[in-house]
Amino acid sequence: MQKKLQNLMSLSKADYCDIRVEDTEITNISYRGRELEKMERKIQFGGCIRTLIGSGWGFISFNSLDNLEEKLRQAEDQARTINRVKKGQVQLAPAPVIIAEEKNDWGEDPRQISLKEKLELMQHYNNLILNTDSRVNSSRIVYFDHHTDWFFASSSGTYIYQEKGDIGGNLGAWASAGQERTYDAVTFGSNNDFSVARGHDEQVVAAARRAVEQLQAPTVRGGQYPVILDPEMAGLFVHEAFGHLSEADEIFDDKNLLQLMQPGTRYGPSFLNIYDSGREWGNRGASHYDDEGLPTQKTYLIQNGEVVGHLHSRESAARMETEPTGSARAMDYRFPPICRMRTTCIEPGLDTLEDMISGIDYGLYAIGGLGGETNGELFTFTATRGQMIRNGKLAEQVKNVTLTGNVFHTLNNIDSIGQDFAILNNAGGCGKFEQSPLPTSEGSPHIRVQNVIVGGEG
Amino acid sequence: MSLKKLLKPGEEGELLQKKSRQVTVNFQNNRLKKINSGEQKREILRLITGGQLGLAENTRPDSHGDLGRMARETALMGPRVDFAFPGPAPLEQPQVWDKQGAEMKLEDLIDPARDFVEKTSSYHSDLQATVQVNKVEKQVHLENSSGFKGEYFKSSFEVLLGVRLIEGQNMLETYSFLEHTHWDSINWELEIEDLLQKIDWGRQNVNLSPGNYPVIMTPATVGDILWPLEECLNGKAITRGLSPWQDQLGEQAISPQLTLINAGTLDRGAASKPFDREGTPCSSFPLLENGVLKNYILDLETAEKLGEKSNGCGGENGPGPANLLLEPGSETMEAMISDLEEGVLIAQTMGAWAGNPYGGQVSGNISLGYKIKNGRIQGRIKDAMFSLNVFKALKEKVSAVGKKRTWHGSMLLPALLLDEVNVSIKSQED
Repeated sequence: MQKKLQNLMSLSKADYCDIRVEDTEITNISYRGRELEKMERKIQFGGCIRTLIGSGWGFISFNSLDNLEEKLRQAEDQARTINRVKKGQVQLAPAPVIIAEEKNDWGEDPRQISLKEKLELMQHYNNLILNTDSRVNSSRIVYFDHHTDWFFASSSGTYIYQEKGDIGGNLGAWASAGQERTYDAVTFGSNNDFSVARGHDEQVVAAARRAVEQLQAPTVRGGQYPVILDPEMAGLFVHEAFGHLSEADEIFDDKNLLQLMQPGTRYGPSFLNIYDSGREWGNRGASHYDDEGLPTQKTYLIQNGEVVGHLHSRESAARMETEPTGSARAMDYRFPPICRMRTTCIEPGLDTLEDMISGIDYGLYAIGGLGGETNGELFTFTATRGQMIRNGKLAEQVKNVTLTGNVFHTLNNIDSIGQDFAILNNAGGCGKFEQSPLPTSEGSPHIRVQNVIVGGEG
Repeated sequence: MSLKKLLKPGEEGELLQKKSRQVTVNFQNNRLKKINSGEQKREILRLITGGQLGLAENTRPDSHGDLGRMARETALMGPRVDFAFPGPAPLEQPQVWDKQGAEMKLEDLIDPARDFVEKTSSYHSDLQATVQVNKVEKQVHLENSSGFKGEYFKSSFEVLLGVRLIEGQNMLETYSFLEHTHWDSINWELEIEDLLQKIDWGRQNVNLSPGNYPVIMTPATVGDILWPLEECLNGKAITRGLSPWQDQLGEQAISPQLTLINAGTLDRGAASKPFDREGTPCSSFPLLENGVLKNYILDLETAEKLGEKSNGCGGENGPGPANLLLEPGSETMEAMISDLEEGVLIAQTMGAWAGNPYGGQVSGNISLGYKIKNGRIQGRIKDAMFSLNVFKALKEKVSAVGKKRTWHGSMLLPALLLDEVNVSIKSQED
């Protein structure tokens, strides 16, 4: 493969050119209720060539490695077309020439576990969930593992092989009573260890019980509250509220946005530190190299409440006159790399959950993350469940908890950060443009945020 | 590769082959930045042996043998199924291939996109435009061991248009996403007019007190709140006992003003095709007629469990609707606005997809919404959320249905005026 890819790169007439080939094997298992829904094996094989000529990027993806030179020329033609429309020169930040081969650092390798064992484990969880209570009348079990052989060569002389893994699961319980339907789940994920799928017996039963408990809970009243976010919700919060805004390919072309994201700009209290790292081994999104062949790193986005960095590709780093951060990622061979998060974290602080609760007269504790979205300025995120806080104590449960905030203001409303810290993985992923889901993970302690808008019944 | 060669005696099977070719032109922040192209070929085999279903997919060109091996391996432990693959049947052939469009050159895709950028930036020099034009040609071939063999070609043009205005920390952004089988279905002028209107209305931020308001949902945002209906009409939710509409066929489920149709073979429909992913002929039928529940969305497996026949909604991940058409009413948008003493117009939402479909509670950020006072748009409301129970709202709170419909992806929708929608909003003193 090395010779084939490097030979092709030597034929390129572009300012810069790279090729990526991915050979991925996938196993999927899912249950809906008692019934096994799907047992699936997949091979996803393909490659892509990216070329830069003047102001334009050409990109072509394919399944077959035949006639590669023809494909290279087509990608070059596409780049030239752009340069004809408007002449210019895209600069790329310097990158080291790397020749490397990196195996994944496996704990339990899912390829060494039989399909039967994986199925029986998921069936076991499913039975535990469905036997918890008669009101638990359905379930949603999802398990997947991916193994990828990843090859990369560039016209600068880099050639890298890396082995990548991705494992994820969702063990969810649905409870029903009358017209009420409630849901709770346990999730897991890793880039290198099947054992994250094991040992969830107690947790799945607890999740199923929580789904039942929520049947009685009223929908939260809409309004503005002080809110405590558990580490899962806080992780979702940091991803939506600041992670996406830090992706430099969104920033560098827009002078207004560039102004808003200048290093030194204050977005949070002095005890707030946020980073994104491609090297949190064991978590979804970790890898040795990004999809431009650059080593990944840990990048601080906010230190002491101020902007200190962004997530860069080679192009965005050159435009913003800084170093690339190894953050250019593509979902698979069908897509070009763009600036993305890996593991995004709020660093632990000094407070305890008890202190956070006792400091609230009337507020909300939001627990477990179902998903979120941002448009660059505003963001939303939805909790699995909630609990009201009254007079400094946890009170009744509530459901249908969706929160919203403003990326430029809400971080400033964080007034407490916990000592606890957990990186959480699940079976979902991050979406940007048409590339979704990309494996990512998030870490945070409990945090408290003032004046959060909560949707709900009036 | 033929299906025959993949199966062993006693096995039933189905081979789906999908080829696609696409080219995408991408303008970001007013500049042509990327041109992407791609070719893909996928083969998906479903195999039934001993009453158990196996599933495998492959895109590696030189490894057809793996497909049979992987499908057989998963079938050994796969789900028990009682359905049989359908045999040959007469098929409708909707117009989904744009011969002229397919012959279009790269420049033909670039020109209208460049024109969009020029028109929006001449309207306001700080407007940043994003345009993505994606031309896709697909070839789908399906055959099974019951003798079905079918093939169709389909073209599609997916266009994302967006404009953004940043002033200080205030960001005003609006976009539309179009998907058409035919290039000439795209009305660029109308889209530009609509986007600039939304920018104009949003230039000034105004205050609103939290509370319950009559709310006009534009056709696009009606699409954002319909997903719990889709989920609850889905055969999977019915067979799992999760849908509140289980055993409710013939019952009044929502307002008599609303009729929702699954249109499988509509000419030029983005989701139209002659047969579904399982070889069942596609057709058109009402899901809800004058609010009465008429049909569920079924594939082979869910139909078999309910003792019914598949209605041609088989997809790669279970049943799914084709084109969804909500029948129009009689009210114009202008009349809806001018009739309101005080209310809200929701033009874009965000995050409304997260949550619990079977309970029907939908909450989302009003990422673009306007306050209406005395029959006029007053300005934009920000940092606000709407919240409603979609089953309750569509049953008891529909006060008008729009006359004009627009396409949003594969949904053709009118605007709705809903009473008593809860709006939470940031208080003014912060």
